[in-house]
Amino acid sequence: MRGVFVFMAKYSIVITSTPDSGDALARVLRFIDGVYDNGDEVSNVFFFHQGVHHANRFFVPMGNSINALASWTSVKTKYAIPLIVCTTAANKRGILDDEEAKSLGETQSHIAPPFNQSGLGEFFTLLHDCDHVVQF
Amino acid sequence: MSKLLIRFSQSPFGNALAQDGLDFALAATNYGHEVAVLFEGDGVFQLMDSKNHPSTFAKRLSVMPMFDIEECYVCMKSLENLNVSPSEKLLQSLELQQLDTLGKLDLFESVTHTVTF
Repeated sequence: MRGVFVFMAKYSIVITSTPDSGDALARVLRFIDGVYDNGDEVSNVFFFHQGVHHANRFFVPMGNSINALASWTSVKTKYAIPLIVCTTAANKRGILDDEEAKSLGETQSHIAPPFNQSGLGEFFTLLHDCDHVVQF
Repeated sequence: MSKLLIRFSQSPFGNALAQDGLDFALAATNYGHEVAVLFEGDGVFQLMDSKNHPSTFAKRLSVMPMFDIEECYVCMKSLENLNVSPSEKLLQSLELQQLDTLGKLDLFESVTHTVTF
């Protein structure tokens, strides 16, 4: 489409709520689908504060709630969005990244793919290219 | 350059939101973002003098100017409603400006992104 300027908005999604707090997870999943339906894209999803609980692969959802790990895995498969977990916020809530688990002599960490173990630095670096921040 | 508004809306006592919000704000300027902060609602409790209660949070807040966070606002109505007077030290070090509702609307319109803690 030469000569036609197509504006595609880039979103950064910040998650500070837990997967079990109300319908936030359901809303964010619908929001991500909506962004792509609209022809826009999501630059990254950043899990901070209590949001790091989304990345705990040992989280056991009850029968009538959404499975966070399965949902994020399918988001990652469908859209290949980086799912960035702040490891500092995670470690202080007992959700260990690989490095912290190793230093404590644990054989397994809590955070596994599709989540990236990273931090505020990566989020703020990506933010330079984003048009909108949406918080859940 | 994008400008971020960090809203502090919770007291520093019941949860870690205030703590994490401050970490978030301090990191933002390190990566080249302009940051303004606004204390509103229960967030004004973060500004209380630390000698009156066991929190050292007010002390932590006072480092903000050293991290290039120079725009610090507080909601006038929230101070009145909750009968809070900010610590003298913080008032000076942060150069806190009080905003009425219209002032807050102007602030919201002047920033690129808003994150609430």
